[in-house]
Amino acid sequence: MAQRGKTMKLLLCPSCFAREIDYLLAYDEEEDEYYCQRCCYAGKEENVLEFYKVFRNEKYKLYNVTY
Amino acid sequence: MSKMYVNVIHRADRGASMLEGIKFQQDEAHRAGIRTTILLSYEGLCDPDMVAYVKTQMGLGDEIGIHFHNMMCEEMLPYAESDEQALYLHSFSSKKKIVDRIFEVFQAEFGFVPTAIGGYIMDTETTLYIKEKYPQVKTSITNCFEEGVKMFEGNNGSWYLFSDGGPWGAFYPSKYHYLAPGRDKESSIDLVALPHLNRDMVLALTSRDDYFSSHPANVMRAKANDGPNSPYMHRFVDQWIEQKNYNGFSYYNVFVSTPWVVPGNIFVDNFEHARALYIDSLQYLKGKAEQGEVEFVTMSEFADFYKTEIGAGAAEVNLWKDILAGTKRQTFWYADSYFRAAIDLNIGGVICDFRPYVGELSGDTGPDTDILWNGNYPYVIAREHRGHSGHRCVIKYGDASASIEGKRAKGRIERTHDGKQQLVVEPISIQVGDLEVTLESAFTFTGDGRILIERRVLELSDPTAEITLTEVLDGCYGTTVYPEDMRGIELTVLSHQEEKHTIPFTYRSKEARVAAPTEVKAVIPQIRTQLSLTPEGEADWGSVKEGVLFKPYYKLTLEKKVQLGGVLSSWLNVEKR
Ligand SMILES: [Zn+2]
Repeated sequence: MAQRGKTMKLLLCPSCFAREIDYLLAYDEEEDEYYCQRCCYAGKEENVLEFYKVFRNEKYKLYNVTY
Repeated sequence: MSKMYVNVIHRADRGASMLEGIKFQQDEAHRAGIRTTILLSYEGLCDPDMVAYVKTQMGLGDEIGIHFHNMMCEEMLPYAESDEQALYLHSFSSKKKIVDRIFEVFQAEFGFVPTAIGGYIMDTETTLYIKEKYPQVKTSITNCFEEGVKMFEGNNGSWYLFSDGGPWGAFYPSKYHYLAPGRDKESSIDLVALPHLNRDMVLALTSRDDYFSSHPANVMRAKANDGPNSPYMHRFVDQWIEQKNYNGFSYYNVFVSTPWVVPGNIFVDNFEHARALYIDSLQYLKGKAEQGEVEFVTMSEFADFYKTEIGAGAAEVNLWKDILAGTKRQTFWYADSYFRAAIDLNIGGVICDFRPYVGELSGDTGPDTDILWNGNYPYVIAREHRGHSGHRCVIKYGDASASIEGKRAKGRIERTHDGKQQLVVEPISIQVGDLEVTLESAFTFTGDGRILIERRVLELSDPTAEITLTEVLDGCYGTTVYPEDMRGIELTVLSHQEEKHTIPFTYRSKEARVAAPTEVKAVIPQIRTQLSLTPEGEADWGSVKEGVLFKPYYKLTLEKKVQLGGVLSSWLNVEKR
């Protein structure tokens, strides 16, 4: 397992993504948090992933539905 | 003790619902001990019930003036040249007729010329005409800070208001552009320009600032409230009070027009909550007034204060922190008659927005002008619109390089011994290859069209290392998110040995570089502006480079080799061309 905070992951800003804007989150080692340089979003990796999930479930209602 | 001066402004429009709404607002203001400024729209002036009510409020000591929104109605059609709803988008001849009609009706009803007026945008030709014809006018709400492209996109292209690039506070407007302050009394219009609302000075760049303003129902529109509560709004007031520590005073206005506190507004999910938030805002300010931090005044009373105590050509600064998401983000702003600059501390202290006013461009809008609807003041740097633009510092060590942008910094405002405003960016440590560099930056605003930028190397993990500091300015020009035609721009680099290279901008990625530079500059005839970097003392290299169509920017650089304790000092200058 990668040591937390030592390996910066490539995560897109979920708040910018909600506006359909691609923006890679920067990483603050001192705070062990990801933050957006474009908007005021900041959060831990799990916050980011949760934001994607909520967004996906609310907006793409059929993304996981098979017919 | 310095104070925050607060105007509570109400707009009087037509109809029973508006009358009921303004009665609520007036009663609540009076209950909080506030005398208001009521600005009557033409529709309001055409409503006898509203006029009668406003007269009763005048009797209670409130100020009465004119607002130029809600003027296009049946009663105006015989006077105007079109049914355009925005005064600032009429032709000059139509603007004059509308203005005269409204003043005429106002004088007929009230028997005097008002000293306080306002609109969303009041452009220069309109304001000059008003001052010539009605010299009694002391103050006018003339602009909506940073409302432009993002707001237009956010409201589905329905609101044609482009007022991006001006100061955020009070100022004496120049005689050429409604967003550019005048340099002195002679070059200014004798009237105090006020903003339509105070804005969140971080979210003004990162978000829609019509959501986050001194307008509790707008905050509700942003869903930054929990029913009738919005602690954010309290922090917002606190941040504006803090600005008085940097400028000697602060200005704040609460201007909620009546449609926001009556049922039926699509942005208000519950109008009772909108009312509760309105009351809460006034009561919170009242508490601050009781503590001596706030003074309630009318618009004209504030204009008197500003005229006596501040005057034309004054510089203003603002240091704002993120009070909505609570991140480390801070934005610093500076404005005077030469330029407006914003520095993003969230990316190490990069100049993220820069508007040179020296070109003295016109901002008059209307079908008889070249710019039509576009009242934005042109930028040369605007990261929110043109992501690659900015002025930053890059550190090189061997083959490795790193920019200050990768670090979140904290800023503080100081004054130099001779009273100049200064932003100090507290030290940040940056990893450059295997070397850790601790760098402090300071921006000094000398009030003559220049910024002194100093980079100081405080620590190096290898104290014997030599590094290169480079100031990099990636510029462009424009007023929207799209690039403008860069042909005509000339890039020049000059050296101590009188070596000179000039590159006309042809999108061919040409570059010129000299040792011992004295100046690197871009002359942008489209905005009659020259932008340059000059070393204070020595620099080792200077360069200019033109961009290509896929990256339409010009690049100016100055670089210097330094060791521990070394400093790179340079000037960013703007001049009229
Ligand atoms: Zn973002």
